[in-house]
Amino acid sequence: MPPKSGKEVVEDEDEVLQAVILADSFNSRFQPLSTTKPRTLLPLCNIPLLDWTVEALVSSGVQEIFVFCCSHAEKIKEAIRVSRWSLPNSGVSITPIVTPEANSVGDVMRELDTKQIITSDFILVTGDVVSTIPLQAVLREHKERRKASKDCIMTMVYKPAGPRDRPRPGLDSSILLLDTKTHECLYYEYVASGHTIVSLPREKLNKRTDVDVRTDLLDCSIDVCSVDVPPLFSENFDYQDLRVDFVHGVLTSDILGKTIYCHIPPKGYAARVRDTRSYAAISQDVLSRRTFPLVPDDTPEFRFKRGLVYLSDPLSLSRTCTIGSHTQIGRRTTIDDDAFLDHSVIGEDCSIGRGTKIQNTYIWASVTIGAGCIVEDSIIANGVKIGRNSRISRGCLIGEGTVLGENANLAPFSRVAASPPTKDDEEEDDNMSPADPSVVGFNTQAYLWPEEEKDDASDSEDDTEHETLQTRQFNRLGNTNPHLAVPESDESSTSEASSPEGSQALSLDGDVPKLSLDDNSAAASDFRSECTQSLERAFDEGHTVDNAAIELKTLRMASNVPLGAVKEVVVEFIASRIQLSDSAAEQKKLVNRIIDRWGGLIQGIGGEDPVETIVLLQAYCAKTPVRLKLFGNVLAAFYNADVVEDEDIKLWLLDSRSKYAVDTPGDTCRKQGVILFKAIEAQSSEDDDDDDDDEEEDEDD
Amino acid sequence: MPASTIEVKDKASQRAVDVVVAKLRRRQIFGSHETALETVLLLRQVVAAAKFNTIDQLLDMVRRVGRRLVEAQPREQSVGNIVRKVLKLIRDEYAAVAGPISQSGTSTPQLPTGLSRQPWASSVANFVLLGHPRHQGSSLSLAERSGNSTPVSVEGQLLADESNRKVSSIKPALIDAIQEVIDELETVYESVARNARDHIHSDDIVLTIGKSRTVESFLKAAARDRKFIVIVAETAPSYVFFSDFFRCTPDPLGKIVTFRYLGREMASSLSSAGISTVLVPDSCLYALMSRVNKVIIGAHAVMANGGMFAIAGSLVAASAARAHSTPVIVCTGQFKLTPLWNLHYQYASVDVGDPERVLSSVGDGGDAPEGVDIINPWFDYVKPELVDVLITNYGDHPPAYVYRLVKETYDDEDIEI
Repeated sequence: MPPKSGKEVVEDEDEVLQAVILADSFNSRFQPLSTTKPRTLLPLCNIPLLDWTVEALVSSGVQEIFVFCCSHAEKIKEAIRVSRWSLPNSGVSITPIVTPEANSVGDVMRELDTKQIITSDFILVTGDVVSTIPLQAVLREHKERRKASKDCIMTMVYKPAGPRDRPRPGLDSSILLLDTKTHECLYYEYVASGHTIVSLPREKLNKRTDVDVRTDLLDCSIDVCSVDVPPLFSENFDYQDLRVDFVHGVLTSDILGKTIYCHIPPKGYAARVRDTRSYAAISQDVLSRRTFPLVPDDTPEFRFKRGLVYLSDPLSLSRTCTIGSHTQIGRRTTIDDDAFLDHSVIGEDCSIGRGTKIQNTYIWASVTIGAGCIVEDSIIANGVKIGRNSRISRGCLIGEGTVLGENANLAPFSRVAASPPTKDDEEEDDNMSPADPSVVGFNTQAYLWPEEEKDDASDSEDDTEHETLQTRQFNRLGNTNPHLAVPESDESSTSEASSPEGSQALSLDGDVPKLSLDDNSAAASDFRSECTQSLERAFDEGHTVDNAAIELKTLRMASNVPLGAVKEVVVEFIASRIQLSDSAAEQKKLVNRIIDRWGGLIQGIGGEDPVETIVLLQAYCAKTPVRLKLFGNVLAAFYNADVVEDEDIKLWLLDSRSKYAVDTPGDTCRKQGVILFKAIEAQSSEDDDDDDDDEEEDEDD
Repeated sequence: MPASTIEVKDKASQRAVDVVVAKLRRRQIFGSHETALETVLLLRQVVAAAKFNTIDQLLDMVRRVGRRLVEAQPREQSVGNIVRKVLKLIRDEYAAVAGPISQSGTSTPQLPTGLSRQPWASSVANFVLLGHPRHQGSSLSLAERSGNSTPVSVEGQLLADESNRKVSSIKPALIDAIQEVIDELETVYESVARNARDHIHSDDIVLTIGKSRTVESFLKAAARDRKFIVIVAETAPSYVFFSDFFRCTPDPLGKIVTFRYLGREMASSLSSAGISTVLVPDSCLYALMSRVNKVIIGAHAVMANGGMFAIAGSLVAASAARAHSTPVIVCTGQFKLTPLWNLHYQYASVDVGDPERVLSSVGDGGDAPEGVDIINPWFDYVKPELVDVLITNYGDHPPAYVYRLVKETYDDEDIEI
C-alpha cells in the first residue's frame, strides 16, 4: 500500500478501502475467443484485462479486492495466484470468490450480501475496465454526500463520449437525467434500438431548476457503492443488470427514497472493453498513450519508438519488414522479410511470415502466420496457426488453437474455432462438421461458427443481455459502416439532447396516460389484471385504504409501469364497483358509499394529479354507456370526499383532454361536470352548505 | 560470491522499497529532484536497518534496491545517480575505516587518511592524493577479487576478517554521510543560486523556458542585486510538464488539480518577486532571440558528454541562441549528472506524455480529429555543443568537463547498477 494514499484513507476513516471486481461479463460477445479463457484474462496490449483493472484500483489506493468469478473460475484463481499482486508488499490483497451458479450481476451482488464481507463504501467494477481516473476523488465526493444524507447510496462514473463513441441513431443507448449542478442522477433509461420516443417521468422534474438530459455519457462500469447496495439486490430478487434493473429500479421507486449520483471526471481515461469494437478502440488508445501513465513502456519490457511503436527485447525483426505506427510487438516474436504491420498488437512468441500484411489486428501469444497472408481488423487468439497465402477479412475472430490450412479465405465477421460451439441445451440436431476447406484451408479441423442471428434465436438464456442484435453487430470489430440502416429516424428523440430544446422533444410522462404502454401491451394487460385482482381482494376482504395503496405501489414497482396506468385502473375499478340503481337518491347513496370508503385510495397511490383523475373518470364513463349518468354523481362524491377540489374541476374543464366531440358520451360527461361546477361555484359564493342535496338532485334529472 | 548476496531482510524496509517502486512506476512521484529525494530517504532507511557481515553484502543490497528503482522508472535518471552516489559513499566510508587494502596485506585497519565523511568536498583532493581514482574507489573490489579468483593466504584472510569486523561500526558514519546528501538535496536550489549575481548583469534580458525550480531561485537570487528583464516561454501548447494529477492531491477547495501551466506559473512567480517579466509563446523564441543577452534553462538530467534532457522547447531555445551567438546557461543540481550517454534518443524524446493534454478528445478544447496522431513529448535532448556553461551547486563547469565530474562523483564499479 503506498503510504500516501493509504494515509489519506486512514485520515478519513480508519477503514480498509475495498473493491469488488465482477470477473464475468455474462455475455458472449467475445465468443469464440472466450471459450477457453474468461473475458477478464483476455490480453489487451499483452496484459490481461484483469491486470489493467487491478492496477486502476490499486493506484487509487484500494487495499482489498474481491474477484467474483463464475466461468473459468480456476483459471482466474490461478492467474491471481501467479500475478505480481500476490507478492508480499504488493499493497493489496486479492481474494477470488467463486460463484458458479451466478448468472447475472444481480446474482453476484446477492452473493456479496450473503457473504457479508463488505464493511464500508466500496468500489464496484467489472473485470475489463481500463482507467486512470483517480478514484479517491470519486470516493471522497461520495463520502461527503453520504455525510449529508444517508440516502445517497451510489456514485456512478460516466465519461463524456468522444467522437468515436458517440451514440448513433438506431443503436442502443442510455439516457440519463441529471441535475445540472449536483449531478444527481434523477432517471435512467436504457433505450434499445428502434425506439425513438422516451418517456421521462414528470414528477422527477419537480422543484429542479436545471436538468440535463444526457445521452453522450459512456458508462465506465466503475461505481462507488455504499454498504446498502448489496442488500437492495437481495430484497429485489429480480434485479439482474446493474444499470437497467438496479439504477432504473431505485430511481423510479418512491418507497426507497434512495439517491444515485453521477461523477463525470474532468480528466483521465476510463473505458470498458464491452465488445470487440471497444477492444480495438481501447487498444489503440493505449498505443496512442491516451491511457497515460498506463502505457506499454511503463514496464521495462517495452521500449517506445518513434511513431508510437513499442518493441520488446529480444525480438527478431527482418531488415526489410515494415513496422507502421501504433504497433506493439511482444517478446521473442519473429517478423520475416517484407512483412508489413500497422496499427496492430502482436503477442509473445509469434511468427509472421514473409510478405504477410497485417493491419488493425490483435494477435495474442504463440501465433504463427505463414507467408503471403493478408489479415485485417481481426482478433487472433493464442496458438493459432494460419497457413500460407490465407486471407482473413475484417471482423474475424479466431479462437484458441485453431489451425487454418493454406489458402484459407475467411469472409468478413467469420468466427472460427478449433471446436464447434457448445450448446448447453438438448438441441444437438446440428452436429457441426468442420468447415469447408475452401474457407479454412485443407488438412485442418477448424469449425466455422454460425452467424449471430441464428445464435440468438436459440439463445433464450441471454435475456440479461439488453442489447439488440443490430447494436451487437455494430459493435463488432472492423465494422466500418458508421451509419447503419436506421429504422425510422425521428429527428431528435434519441440523438443528443443535453439542452432544454432537446428535452422538449421528449414527451413527458403523465400528459398522455397510455404512452408507455404501447410498446408492451402484453405486459400492460398482465399488470391490469393483477391490479384488478388486488383491488377485488381489497374490496372483498375490506382492507384499509392504506394497505390497498401499498399493495398497488408494490405492483407498480414490480411491473414497472407509470403512475397514470395504476390510477386508470383504480379509477375505473372504483367506478365499476358502484351498483346501479334507478332511483336518483338511491344511486347517490350507493355512489357516496363507495367513494367515502375508497376515494382515499386514489390519493393513496401517489402522484397527486386530480385533473388526471377526472379525465380518467370521464374517459371510463364515456366508454360504458350504462355508467354515463354516474359521472356527475361520482364527481360530486369525489368533491365531497376531497379527492378533487373545485379548482381541479375548473382546470379539468379548461383542459383539452376533457373536450370531446359534441353529443358523444364524453361530451355528455363534460356537460354534467359543467353543471356541477356551476353549482359548486354558486354554493361557495352563497356560503350555503345546505343546498348541496337539491343541486345534486337537479343534475340527476 | 554467494556468501555476500543478501536480501533486504526487515519487513519495514522491504515494504518501503516496494512502495517507492510502485510510486515511481505509476509516476506518483516524478521530477528529478523529488525522485532523488525519495530515493535517498529510502536508501537511508535500508542502510539503517541493514544487517551485514561484509561491506560487499551492503553494497550488493543497496545495488539490488537501486536496480529495482531504476527499472521501475528508467526515465528518472536521478534515481540511478543517487544510488551510485550512496554506493560511492559506502565505499569511501569503508575505505576510511578499513583503509585501502593492498595486495600485500600490510594495511593497518585505522589508516589515518583524513578522507572520511566528506567524500564530496574532498573527492578532487583524494583524486590527486591517490594518483589514480580507481585505486581508492575500488579497493574493496580488489579485496573481493582476491577472495574470488586467487587463493588468499591465511594471513590475508585474517586481515580481511578483521576489517569486516569493523564493518558494522561504520554504520553511524554512513547514516551521517547519507544525511549530508539529503541536506544537500534540500538546499540545492540555494546552492546553485549562490553566485547568480556573477552571471546576470544589470539590464540584461534573460530568456528562460517553462518552469524549473533551479532557474527560478537562480533568477530570484540575482534579482536581489540586479535589475533585469526575464522573458518566459510558456512551453505552449502543452503547457504541462508535470501535474498534480497523478498525485491526486486535492487543492484547498478539495478539487484535484489537473493542469498546471508551468510557463505561466514561472512568470507570475518571478513577477511577484519584483522582476519585470514577459510571457511569450514558444513560437516567437527565434524572433526575440536577437534582443536576448542570455538563455538560462533547467535540466532534467545531464549526460556524461555534457548533453542534457530538458523540458520540450529547450532545444528550440538553445538552437535559436546558437544562431544568434547568445550564451546558453544551464542551472542544475549536481545530482542530475548522469554517467550515461544518450544513445537512443538523439532525435526523439526520452519520455512522451499524454496526448489529452495537447488536445483533448472530448470537451471544450474541441474534439481531436480522428486518425491524427497527437504526440506530447516531455523532454528535448540538447546537445553539449549548444550549451555554454553548467552552473551546479559545486560551481560552474563547461559541458566538456562533465565527464570529469561524473568520474569523481561516482565509482566506476557502479556505472551499471
